[in-house]
Amino acid sequence: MSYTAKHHDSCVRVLEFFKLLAKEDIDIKELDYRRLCKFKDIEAHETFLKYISTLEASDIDVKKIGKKYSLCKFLEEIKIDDCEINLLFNIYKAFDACCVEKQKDFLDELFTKIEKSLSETTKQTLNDKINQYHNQKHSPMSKIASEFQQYVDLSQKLTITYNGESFTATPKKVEINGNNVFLFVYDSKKAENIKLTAKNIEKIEILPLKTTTTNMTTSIAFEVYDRLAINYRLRDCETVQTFDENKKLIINTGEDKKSLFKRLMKYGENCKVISPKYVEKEMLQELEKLEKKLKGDAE
Amino acid sequence: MNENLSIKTKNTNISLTAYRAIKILKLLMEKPSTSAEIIEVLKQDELTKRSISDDTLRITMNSLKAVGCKIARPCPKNDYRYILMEHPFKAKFNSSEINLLSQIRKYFLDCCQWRTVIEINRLYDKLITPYCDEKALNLLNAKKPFVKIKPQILETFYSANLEKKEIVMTYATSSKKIEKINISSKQIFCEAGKLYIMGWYYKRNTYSYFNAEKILEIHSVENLKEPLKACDIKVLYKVTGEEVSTFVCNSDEKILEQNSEEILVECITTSEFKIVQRLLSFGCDFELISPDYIRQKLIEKIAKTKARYE
Repeated sequence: MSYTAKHHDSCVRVLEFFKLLAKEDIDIKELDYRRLCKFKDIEAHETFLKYISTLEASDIDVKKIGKKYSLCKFLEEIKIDDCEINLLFNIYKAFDACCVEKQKDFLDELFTKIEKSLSETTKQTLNDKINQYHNQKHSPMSKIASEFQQYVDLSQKLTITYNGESFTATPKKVEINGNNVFLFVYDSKKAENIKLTAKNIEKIEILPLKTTTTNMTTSIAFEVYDRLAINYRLRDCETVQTFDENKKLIINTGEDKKSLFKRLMKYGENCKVISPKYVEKEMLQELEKLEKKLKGDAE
Repeated sequence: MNENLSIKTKNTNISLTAYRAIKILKLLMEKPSTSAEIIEVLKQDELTKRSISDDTLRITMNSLKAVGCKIARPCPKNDYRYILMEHPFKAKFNSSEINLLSQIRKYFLDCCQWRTVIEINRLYDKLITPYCDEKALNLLNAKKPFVKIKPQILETFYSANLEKKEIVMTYATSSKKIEKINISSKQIFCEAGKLYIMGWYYKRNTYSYFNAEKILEIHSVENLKEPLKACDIKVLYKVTGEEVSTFVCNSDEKILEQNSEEILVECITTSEFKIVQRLLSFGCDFELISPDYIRQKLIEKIAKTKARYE
């Protein structure tokens, strides 16, 4: 760093350290001390203690969480009312209920960061609510989700018995939605991502086979027409190619085929599967099956 | 949450120049100040306890600027005050955090809790947006729900109870036509990320759906002068197969019976279109019990869809 205006070197070093702390928690052992201080001959630990003392003397408290030093509070305090505290708590609760262990740690970190901008009283109220919630919850869903997450983390292929059928698949991710836990797997034989409901999984066996990092997932292309083309909300796994106002080509990669079929059926004549051909055929078969069923029910 | 361990150090060796700089920074965060005001504050401070020269003050300001503070110089235009425009000690949210925040908002949107989504938008504007760089801000706003709705219209949706009301509004009935219309609203709801009023459309003598994005102005909201037209369709159906384990009841539905094999559902709706869509979304995993004309509608719909493939 080269500064043109005259300034205090030691002051800049403390402020740089403060800036780093505002950005993220710091493990001083991992910190590039020389880059920050531009000196080689100072006792690093002592100097950091001096920096921290300076910050604390300025009413900027620093805590040590595990190995890392962390700011207790940002300089700017944001005032939020009771409704907003409740909203933050509801956000926490809702998301905690539907995410797996890894994400939960991240959610906690994010909330800790948000709390640093809040007053002590607000922070306390929010933390009390969160702690009370953690003490009360005994979710069997979380247990199942954690078990599934372990399969994903192991990165080994599984033999899954689902609705009476057995197949080999690669576990990809876990999702909790409402009262359901879903395991998303990749079936290499079909080159498809499949969404499995926990309730219908009968058995899981871990195979001594490592999963590969890349999977060839079939992309399904479909067209949407008229009002649906104008109003169609693109999913995360989709890209669009617009021909004109009344017709769009959507490429869907990675959505569970069964779920996609049901969604597309809902759109009726405003939607048509274009490729691959065998998926187009399967969609037509589904339509015929439902038509037959409805006509049969009527008789 | 992790239990934090306070490390209030007993080390009294501090950097006085840095202490002074932070003191000035905090003062400028409160209000723009003249050199004399800053010097006076430092003079009164328990730790510094002494006055500083204009030169030292300037060097301290330079130190603050060196780490990224933007401070306007005193000049006649600002009554010779130092003004803090920006500082680098703010919280910063990174892309992963923004993604999680967007995911949280999407969760509520998918659950159709539109009021909560509006509240989350406001909370993010207050707690998150000021602490995002341009990239993070673009990411946060990329999928912000309800952005296409005019702010005053969204405010009316949130603050006024628009259900079961006579509403006069200017509405873009098509891309080229804007009309002043009268409706009797029945329900406000959110679907596929969009906000709607469902109500009796006097001009067409039927129940219709009005997209909030197309409402240009709400002229009046009054209590209903007469009860809402009864155009309800009562539909009985069974959910079967895989859908049993994932079935979620809509607001217009009621579960009558349930076992591990099937769920008997009663739906009371005003829209044929919506119930047909709802049933088709189950694929083959449903059985329609009544009414029979809905079955015909379903069969017609499937025939039209099949025709696309021929």
